[in-house]
Amino acid sequence: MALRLLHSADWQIGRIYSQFEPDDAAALFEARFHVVERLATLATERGVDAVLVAGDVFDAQTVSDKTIRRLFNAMQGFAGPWVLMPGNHDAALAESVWTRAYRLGAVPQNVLTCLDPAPRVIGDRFAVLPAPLVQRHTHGDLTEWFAGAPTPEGLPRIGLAHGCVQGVLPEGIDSTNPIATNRGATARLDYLALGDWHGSKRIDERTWYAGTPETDRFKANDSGQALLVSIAGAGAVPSVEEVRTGRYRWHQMDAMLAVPSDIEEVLRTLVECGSDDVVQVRLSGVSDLNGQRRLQHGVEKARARVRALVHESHGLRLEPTEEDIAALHADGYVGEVLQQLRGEQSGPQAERARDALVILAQMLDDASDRPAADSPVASV
Amino acid sequence: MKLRRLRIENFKRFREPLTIDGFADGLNLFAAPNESGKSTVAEAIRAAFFERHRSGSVEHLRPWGDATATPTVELEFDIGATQYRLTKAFLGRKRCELVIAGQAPLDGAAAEDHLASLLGFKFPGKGASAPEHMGVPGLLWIRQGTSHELADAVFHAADHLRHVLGESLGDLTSSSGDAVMNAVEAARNELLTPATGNPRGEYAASLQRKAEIADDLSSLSRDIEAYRSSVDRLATSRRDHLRDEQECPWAGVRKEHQAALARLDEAQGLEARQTTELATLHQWRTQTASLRSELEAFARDEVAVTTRKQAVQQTVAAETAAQVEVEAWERRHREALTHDTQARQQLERVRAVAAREELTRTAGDLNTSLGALNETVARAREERTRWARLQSEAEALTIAPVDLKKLKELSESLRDVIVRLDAVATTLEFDLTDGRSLRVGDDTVTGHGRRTVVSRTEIQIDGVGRIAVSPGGADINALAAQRDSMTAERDALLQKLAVATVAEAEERARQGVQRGQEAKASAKVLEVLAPKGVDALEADLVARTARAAEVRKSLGALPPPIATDETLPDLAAAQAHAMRTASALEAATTALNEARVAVGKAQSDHATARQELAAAEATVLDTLRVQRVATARQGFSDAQTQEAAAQQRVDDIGTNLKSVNLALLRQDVERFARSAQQLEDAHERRRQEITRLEVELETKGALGLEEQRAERERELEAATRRADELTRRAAALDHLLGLLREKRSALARRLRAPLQKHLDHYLGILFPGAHIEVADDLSPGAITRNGPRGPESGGFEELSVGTREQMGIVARLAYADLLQEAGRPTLLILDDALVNTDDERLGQMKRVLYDAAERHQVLIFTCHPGAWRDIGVAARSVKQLDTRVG
Repeated sequence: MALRLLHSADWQIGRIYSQFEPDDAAALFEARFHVVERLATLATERGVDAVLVAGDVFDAQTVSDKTIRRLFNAMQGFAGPWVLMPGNHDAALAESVWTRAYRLGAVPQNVLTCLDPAPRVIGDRFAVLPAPLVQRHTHGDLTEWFAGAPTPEGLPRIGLAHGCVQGVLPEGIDSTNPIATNRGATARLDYLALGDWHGSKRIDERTWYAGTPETDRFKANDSGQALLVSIAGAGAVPSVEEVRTGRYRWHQMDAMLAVPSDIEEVLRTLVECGSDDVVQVRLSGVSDLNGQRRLQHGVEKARARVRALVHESHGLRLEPTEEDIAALHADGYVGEVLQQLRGEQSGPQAERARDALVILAQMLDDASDRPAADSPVASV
Repeated sequence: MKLRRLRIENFKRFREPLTIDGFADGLNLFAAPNESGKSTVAEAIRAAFFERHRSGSVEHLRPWGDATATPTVELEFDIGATQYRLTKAFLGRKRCELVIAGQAPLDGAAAEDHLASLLGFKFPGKGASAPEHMGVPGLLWIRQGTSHELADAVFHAADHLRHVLGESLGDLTSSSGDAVMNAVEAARNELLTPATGNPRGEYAASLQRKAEIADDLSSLSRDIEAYRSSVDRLATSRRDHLRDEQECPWAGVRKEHQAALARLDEAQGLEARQTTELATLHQWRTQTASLRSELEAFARDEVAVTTRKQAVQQTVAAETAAQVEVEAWERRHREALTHDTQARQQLERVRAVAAREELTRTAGDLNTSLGALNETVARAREERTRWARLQSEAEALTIAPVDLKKLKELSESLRDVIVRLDAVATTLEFDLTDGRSLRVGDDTVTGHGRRTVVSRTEIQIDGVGRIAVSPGGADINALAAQRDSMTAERDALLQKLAVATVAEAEERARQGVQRGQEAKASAKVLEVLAPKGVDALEADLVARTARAAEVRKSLGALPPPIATDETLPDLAAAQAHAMRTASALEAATTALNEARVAVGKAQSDHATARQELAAAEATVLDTLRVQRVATARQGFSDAQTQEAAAQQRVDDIGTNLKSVNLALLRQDVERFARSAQQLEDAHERRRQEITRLEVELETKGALGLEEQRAERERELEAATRRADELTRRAAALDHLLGLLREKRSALARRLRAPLQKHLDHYLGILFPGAHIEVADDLSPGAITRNGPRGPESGGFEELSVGTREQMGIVARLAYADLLQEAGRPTLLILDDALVNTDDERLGQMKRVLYDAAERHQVLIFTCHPGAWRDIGVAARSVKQLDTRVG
């Protein structure tokens, strides 16, 4: 019977999302526990032999006791072996989140923590060769010993490491903790389960980054997944299945507005966003006051609907049109002010001018008895 | 607007109709004294326009004392090219009619409202018209004493003025600008303080919160850093602890310590032996020294015998030498004695010779002086006898010159008295029978005689009886008495002098003087002979006589002279010689005595030396002593041998000790002991440190520091976002407000420009070079003039009443210009409007008014016709008009 493993990594339990409002941040914090529960369910459903977690289980060493307990509680859904290994965020230092977990008595029997680089045989099914981080940063390759480590004959050799495979990932990504490119081959590994890179990524047929099971940043392609690895026997090429595990989809919307239809595009995209979306809207380019009001309106509507929304429009230049001015009744000296602010957007205080322009438009809107911005929106 | 004709009837003081016509287009000057009705004329114009004809509040318009009259005003005026006639009757037969040339006439309220909109004023809802209703005419028609009160009038006309300005400037105003600006300002002031633009309210709070969170965060970061370094220290400590547990580095050091201790013990044994050997050596050295001194003592006894023998020999020799010296000195003594005796004898003889010679010479001298002295004594004795005799004679003869003189004077005086008495006395001449006698007084007279009687004298004739004669003459009795007393005195003196007569007295006196002189001569002779008296002379004589006797006796006592006396030396030489020999003798005697004492001492020394020799010989020859000497010599030899042996041993040990450094050995022991202790202590300390770190990290780890920090970071980011948002909003609002104000202000300036232009025009006439700002409410604002100390600026209300009055008129003229430009009717009425203005300013104001009258009809009412003489139009009197019409 083939060996079946669930490969995950970079749980980052205890991560707090500073860019969002408190309620959104709290929900995203919670999401990381929920995804572990889903992993447990998945592991049980698929009947895997073990769940491997390749580092950065915790986001920090000194997370609260409650967080530690909650994690292990979340793992109850799978009674089989969990193989956890420290990464750079939760390195096995003299005193670490791991020693605390043990001191708390929070670690269940079926959870194996690889705090030292020594091979272990899991349930007579496979041998795992872990390369845990025991310092915060390592500049040497911790997987070097894999090649010389004997394991019981006939059992698949599964490597477990956390770091940066040399020459494959973009420059500057966790370049400490290097891992040799061909480690899987040189160490005669049947599978090398990697962590640190937050998107799922295949390095070679036996070497994979699982990616984080719940997306935690906007720029993380192919995150929010786990890998179901199936190995027919020692030496066989593993088959790898990417399984969606994350709940929240993180969208980054960088729109350069030039013509009115650009605004429509942005608004349409916003309308499509739902409650499991985390959205970043960054607007630049040019808009008239009416368009700006509609964008603002659309963003606020979306904000109430999606999980979290970050909106930046500092780069958006406002160009009031004759219609704008007429609609706002911006006559007399107020009209002059409006025009001056419009001009100032090209000056050194562009942002201030833009803000003032928005405020002025808002004030004029409020001052007029007519319902604000509705009729122009309706007419478009 | 040009007023053409005015007619009033039953109006206040004008019960009879009053008509004024012939109004000029420009200036019209009405001059009249107080209470002559010129203000009534002005009031009639106001009432015709401002009051509803139906108003019940115009009772004051009625003539005094006539409650039924109907005050009526008729006005004819042109506005533009259109002619109007307004007839208005109040109270009684109320009526209002407005006839407009070329149009249908208007009646009642319609006519009134038409006028109100035409001229720019309002009617009150009820009651009399008040200033707030009067609008433009209220501004341009100045009532008595109100020309300096401008603000209210402008306020009430403001709507019209603004409308005029707005019309002239088109549609530049913002329909909702001020509302927006107020909203912007309110929003801005929520975030920034109005004056200084510092953050306030929510903005300030957000900045505060951001700073607080940042503080918390840095504190947390420090804690985390500390936690991490504790973790690192724990790792290091555990590694080191484990290594020490396995290697036990202190065990090796302990072994080293034991070895060093053994080396030290060995070295310390050597030192003890050296101490013992040194003691032995010291004992032998003491023994040797003791025996050596004993032997030396024995040797000294033998030396003593020899020494004593030599001493005896020396004393014998000394004694012999002393004897020889005594003999020598005895001989010399004898010789000296002989010489001395001889010298003394010779001296005796020299002295005797000299004495004799001396005595002989003395005796000679004495004899000579004795002879002379004897003679002197004899003469002196003789002379003394003579002097004594002369002296006593002189004393016996001597009469005192005083007595003598008195005697002579008494004799002379008495003679004179007697002569005078005789001259006056009664002379009795007798020629008596002989034998017969009678008695005159007591005298018996016989014979012949004569007698003078100077006093009563009884003459007794025996048998006859008695005859009493009493001489006549006045002073006979006095003279007689004088004669008697003088006689008695002379006689007494004579008796005293022991002379009978005066002549005798004189003779005796002469003799006395002669004897005295002789005595004096004799005394002088005696003085020469015996200066110290005769007795002294005699004593001297006796003394010299005695001495001569002694000299002779001495001479007799001297030995008789011999022949060899001639060869003798003189006395001095003999004395010197005798002294030399005596001295030599003394020296010889002393030396001899000393030599004799020396002999005695030498004999005594000799005896002592012999006794000492005997004693020393006795000691040396004692048999016991000989044995002791032998024993001592043997002992000394043995002790020396032992000492040398001990010294050798000490030297050997010393050499050994030099090769080991005891101090270093001790340091080694201490060093190894300490090192071991330190290693053990360090191990223990590390163990404790590990425990402490474990506890600390356990405690700190439970705090979830990094989770806290992440949460804080999130809060900081939120707070920063909020603060940044507010910062941007505050900046934007501030900027926006500034812009709005700036634009609004610029607009306001543009709006006010026409008014400013007209104001500047008149101001240039009144105060050349001055500048005035037009405030937002269109009233004159700050005015800047050239003062004596440069430009002075001040608000309208700060000006003097006079200046405000002038400015009030100037401003009204400017408003009038403005209104006229906008095609509005203008009429200016000045009722005693420049009462507070001085002559100079009034001159300027006349130019202003004259200029204004080029464009407007101006009615000036004044009670000072003289002040307005040069306004360019003739003054008209209200009364005159009155009469003219009447």
